[in-house]
Amino acid sequence: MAFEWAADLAIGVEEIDEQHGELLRRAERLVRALEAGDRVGIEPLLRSLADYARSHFECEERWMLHHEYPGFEAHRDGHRRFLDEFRGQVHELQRLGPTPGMATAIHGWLAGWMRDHLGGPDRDFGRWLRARGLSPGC
Amino acid sequence: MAIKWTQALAVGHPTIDGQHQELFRRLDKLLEAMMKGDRDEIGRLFDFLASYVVEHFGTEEKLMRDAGYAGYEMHKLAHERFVKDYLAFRKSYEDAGGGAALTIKLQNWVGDWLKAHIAGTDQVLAKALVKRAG
Repeated sequence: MAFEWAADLAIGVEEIDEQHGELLRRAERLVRALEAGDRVGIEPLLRSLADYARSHFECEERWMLHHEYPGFEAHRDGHRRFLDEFRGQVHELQRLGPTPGMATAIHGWLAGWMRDHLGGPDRDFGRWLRARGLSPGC
Repeated sequence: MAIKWTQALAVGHPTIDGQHQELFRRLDKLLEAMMKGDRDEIGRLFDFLASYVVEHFGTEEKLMRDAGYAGYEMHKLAHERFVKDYLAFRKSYEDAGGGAALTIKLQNWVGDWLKAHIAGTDQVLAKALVKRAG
């Protein structure tokens, strides 16, 4: 289980942690379909992950603006980079098909991004919110 | 009942701090006029503050642009939201014609917003500007 929710991924803000759990579940389903070479299953799972990521990012960004989070721009740029890279991965996938190499590449990219983003910028944002006793707003 | 600038709100940038103090003085006068129900004075202060807020935000935004400040976008959006809320507040005063409830609402909203904005967002900006100048 590559994308299992682990306690060390928690940023300590319930609403965001729940959304991260869902993001990881969708990533896990996609990677499994890729590894099984399930052509029919992959397409909706790609869309489901991208849609959820987009709405989750919007939620975080709205919240950042509402509370005037000083790291807003850098964090938002991290979200944009993810969506850009995601488009690039989908493009490659369409070009090459669900080969084992492609499955490994997407798996590695997703796992790395989740680890770095959740463990970095999201953790910082969580700490900032908790220090001010701010509560979820989206 | 008052909105007072205190040293605790100083961000350490003379231009910004000076404008904040003027902003607090005029807002305090507006609250006082609202308590008295002095409609002419209220109208004058609403007008003055509308243009002074735009001028002050403009000053900060120019400082940010000149410094190539990374937090420009979020800060500007916060200003825009304040202006929108201010205009909405003024409209509700004009529609409802004042009263104690509205005065308290203004004091709470503007007091909370200014303190949070100055202690957070403006403080971060001023630090970056001072660091850059030094």
